[in-house]
Amino acid sequence: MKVTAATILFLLASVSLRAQGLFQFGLLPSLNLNQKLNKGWRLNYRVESRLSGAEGKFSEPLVSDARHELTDLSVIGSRKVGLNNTLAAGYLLRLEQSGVTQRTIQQYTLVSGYNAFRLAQRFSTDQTFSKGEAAEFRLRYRLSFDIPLNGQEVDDREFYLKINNEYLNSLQGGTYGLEVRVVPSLGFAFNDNSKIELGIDYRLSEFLKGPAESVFWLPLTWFIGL
Amino acid sequence: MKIKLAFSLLLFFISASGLLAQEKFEKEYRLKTETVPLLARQFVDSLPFNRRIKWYAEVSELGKTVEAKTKFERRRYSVEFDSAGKLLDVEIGISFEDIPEKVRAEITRNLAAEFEKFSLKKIQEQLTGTRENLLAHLAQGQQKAGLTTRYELIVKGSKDGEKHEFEFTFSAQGQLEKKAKLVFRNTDNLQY
Repeated sequence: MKVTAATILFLLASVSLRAQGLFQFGLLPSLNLNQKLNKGWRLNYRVESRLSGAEGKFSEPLVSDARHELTDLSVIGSRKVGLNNTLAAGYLLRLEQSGVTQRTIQQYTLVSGYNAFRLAQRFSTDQTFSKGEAAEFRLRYRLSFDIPLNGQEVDDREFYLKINNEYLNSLQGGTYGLEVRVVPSLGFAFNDNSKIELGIDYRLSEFLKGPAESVFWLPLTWFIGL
Repeated sequence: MKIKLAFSLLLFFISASGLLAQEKFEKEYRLKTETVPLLARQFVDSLPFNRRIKWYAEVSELGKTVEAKTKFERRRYSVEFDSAGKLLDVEIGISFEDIPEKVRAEITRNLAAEFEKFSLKKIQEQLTGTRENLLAHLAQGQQKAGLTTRYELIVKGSKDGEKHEFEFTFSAQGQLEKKAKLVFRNTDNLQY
C-alpha cells in the first residue's frame, strides 16, 4: 500500500511540474462491452464521450466552457494468438460537430500475471482520416498494470488500482508529434466480468516544439463482459 | 424517450452485474496478524523465518483457510491452516533441479506424454504431515521423516495447436496425481 501511495504521489507530482502552457480538462465517460465468441475470438464495443469542462492557459484565470466535444464509437475484433497474447483490429467512428472522423486500429497485447499484480503491454497502430485534414498515422505503446488493494488477486466486490502509461508517436502531413499519457485509476470489480474504473487521465503533448499542452480527463469506464 | 432508453439499459447492466456476482463465491483477503488463529501464529513463530509474514484468508464454498506467506533463504514459503489454525500443508518454491534426478525424469516423461511442447512456470514442493514432523524438518533441518512430499507444477503446454496453463500435482516418485486447467481472470480492462 505504501509503495502504491508513493507511486501515485510521484505521478501526480510529475504532472504538476510539467503542467505549464495550455490546458484542457473534462469528463470521459465510457462503456466498454466485450463479447466472447468461439475459438479465441472476441469483439469489443466501446462508446466514449468527451465532455470538456474548461480550457485555456495555466497563467490565466480559469474560464468554464462546458460542452460535449465528441463521441467515439468503436468495434474491435480480436483473436488469441498465444496463451497471453492477442492480435486485434478494429474501426472507430468519431462524431463531433465539425464532422465525422474515421480511424482504423491494429493492436497486439501481451498480458503477464505475477504474484500480486498483472502487467499488460499494448503495441498498436492507427490511421485517422477526416475531411479537410491530412491523414494521421500513429504508433503507440502502452504499459498497464493492475494491483488488488486487498489480497493477492482482485476478487468479486473488491477495489484495485490500475495505472496506464502510454507513448503515442504521430505523423500528420509530415509533422511528427509525441504524446505521453499517464492514467492512475481506482477500479471496483463487481465480478470478473463487470468492473468500473475512475481515474485521472493526464495527456502531455506538443512539448517537443513549444509550450506543452496538458489535458486532464476524468475517465469513468465501465467494462462489461457479455 | 432517449433518456428513458438509456436509463433502462443502465438498469439492465447493473442488474446483470448483480446476478453474475452471485454465481460464484470465492474471496481472498489480507489478515491482520492479531486476527490469525493462535495455533497458526504459534507454528509460524516457531519457524526460523526472518522476513515479514503476510497473512491471508481464503473463503470459498469449501470453507475458510488461513495462509502465511513469506520468503526465507531466497525461497517463497506458504503455510496453510484451516480456520481453527490446524496445519494443512507447507509449500516451498523450488527450482526443477532441486527435485531428485529420478523423480525429475519421471515428471518429464509424464509431461512429454501430455504435451507436444511444454515449459515450467512455477514449481513448489508440498509437504504434509504432523505439526511436530513439519516443525522438526523446517525449524531444525531434520530429514523429512513422517512427511509426505508432493510436487506442484504450473506448466504451460501446447497440444494440437492449443496452448493452456495447467497445475499438476506429482507424488514424491513423480507419479501424476492431479491435473487442473487454469482459468485466467478477465483481462479486458488491461487490453482496451
